[in-house]
Amino acid sequence: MIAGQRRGSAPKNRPGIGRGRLPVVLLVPALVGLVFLGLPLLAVLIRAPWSSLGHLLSEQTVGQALRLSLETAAIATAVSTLVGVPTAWVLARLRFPGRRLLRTVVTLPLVLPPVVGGVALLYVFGRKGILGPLLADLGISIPFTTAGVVIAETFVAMPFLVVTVEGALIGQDERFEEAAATLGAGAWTTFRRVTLPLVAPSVGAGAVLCFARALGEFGATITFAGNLPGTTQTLPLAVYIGLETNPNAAIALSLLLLAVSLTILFALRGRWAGGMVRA
Amino acid sequence: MTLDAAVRLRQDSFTLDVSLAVAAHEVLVILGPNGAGKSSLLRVLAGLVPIEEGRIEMDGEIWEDAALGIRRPPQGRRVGVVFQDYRLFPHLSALENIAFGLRTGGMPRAAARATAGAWLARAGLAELAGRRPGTLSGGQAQRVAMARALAFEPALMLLDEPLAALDAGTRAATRSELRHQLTAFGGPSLVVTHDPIEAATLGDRVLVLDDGKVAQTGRFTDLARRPATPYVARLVGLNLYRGQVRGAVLHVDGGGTLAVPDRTADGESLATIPPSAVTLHLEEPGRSSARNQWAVLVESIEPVGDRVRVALAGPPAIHADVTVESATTLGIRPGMRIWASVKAVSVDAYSPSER
Repeated sequence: MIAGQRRGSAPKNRPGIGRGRLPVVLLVPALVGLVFLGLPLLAVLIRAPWSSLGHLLSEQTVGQALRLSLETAAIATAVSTLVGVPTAWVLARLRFPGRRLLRTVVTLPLVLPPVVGGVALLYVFGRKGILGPLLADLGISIPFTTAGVVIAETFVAMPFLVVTVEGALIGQDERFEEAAATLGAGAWTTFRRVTLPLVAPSVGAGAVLCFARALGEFGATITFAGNLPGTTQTLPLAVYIGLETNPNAAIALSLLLLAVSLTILFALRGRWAGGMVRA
Repeated sequence: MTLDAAVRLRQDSFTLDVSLAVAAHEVLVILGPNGAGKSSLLRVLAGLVPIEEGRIEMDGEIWEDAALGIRRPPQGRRVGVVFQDYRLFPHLSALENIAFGLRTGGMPRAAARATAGAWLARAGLAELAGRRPGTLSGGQAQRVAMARALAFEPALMLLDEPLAALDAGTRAATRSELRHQLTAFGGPSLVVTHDPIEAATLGDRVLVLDDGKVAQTGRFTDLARRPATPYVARLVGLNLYRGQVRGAVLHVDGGGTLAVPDRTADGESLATIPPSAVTLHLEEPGRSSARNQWAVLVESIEPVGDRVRVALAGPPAIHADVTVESATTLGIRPGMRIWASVKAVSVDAYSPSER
């Protein structure tokens, strides 16, 4: 039905595609895709308990979870930036054997199921992990602590920053770095005064993306850090738990996360794609 | 303050193998076709590309010596480089661009800005101090790039087609300014170009690079009179032939013969013929004072200034300049079979080594 209507009317309405008919073969699946992606978000808005929203969001656990989420995601983003920018530089600028392998390792968390990431982190930092005895000797225990949340989020989110910044570095080529070298600038000065300022927009975009991913982190966090209110229960975990005990609270929390995500998306305004492609 | 370099390195498609010496105050123009290795040579001297064999010495200091394993990075060479695309830092103002090299040398921020400001003023750009490179015109960017390189107080100046990015009007003015700046600069300078006017006006001496090797060196006027490469011959508008002379006849490589002046020594020889010395005939000319007469095929016709340049297939092939009037009267058009004649006295034959 829809296809039939489109076929008749669309070409007149869309002068941009003036030649011939609109390609129904493409439009119909596109419409399905848009509905599929948009409907769940709409459903959250429709089913939200708007009248009791204020009450639900003012609960202590919600405030706790929100604050914990924002704090851990911020720390994870800071750590990712400090470590991720140099990592991106090494991948983009240095020529060494095994570089491709290293790039694969760095980007692996992008496609790895987060739960697997959480398990892997347990085998590094857990009591039986490879660093476990060392940490135990130092009296440090990471799993099921807030520090564990930060580690889980960093593991999952840092690749977004690395990939974004690396793309920008590769795209920037080395012309300006060569010019800086002929003007007497050493490697560090060149990085600080030329390379970094030129990729700063991509570092910003990567950091925002990284923050968004850290904020939504669930699988690795619940596996590695558990679900302790006030310590490791971030917003996504609170949503999940809430769904079993208090569905209205779950929807309210989901709304909150949705609002945060939309804010981030607005802040990015297509920067991510730009940063990746500008390459 | 003398640059002495003998460098050799293999790149993807060719081998760069060049020896040169440039004295203080001297401007050496590097001339050559695209892909001859001109920019590679500058990059090697700047230290951006390591050499495989040879040595670069500046004023008695070894900058690079492949055999001794000595290699100073670009930072340790004090070269002022003006890149073809200028490479002004896009995120820094004109002033900050010039101050950059001063700051890396350890000059305090305020002093560096003041010095950079003075350089800008000298370039007549004082009012553009705060502007980003993206907002500068080509000529302004060129002057900022030049000021940035000179403010660094380099021992050696390297300029890669410094005027290529400018439009014709700006180029003439900037060219004389550039010549002035290079003369005032105390050390040796190298300027890459493929513009014969720049080669003639900017440089004291010209080095012709062909396929990574030095094909010819000398003053531009000498080069223009007796070129050793087809590239330079084309640049100055001469027909150039290479071949063997036997009894005042040049047997041209690739076919054909040319009568040359009687005193010409036997052996390998180059010969030039100015296109204006060629006469064209519709019929075989018969007996005349021109000892060179041969049948040719018109390949193309193009206007050059107030004349018409006719490309003719031989052998030997030749370019002839005729007036528009003669071309019209003769009705010359591509595909026509006609005759060319040249007096032997118009053929300048010289040994490849004496150029």
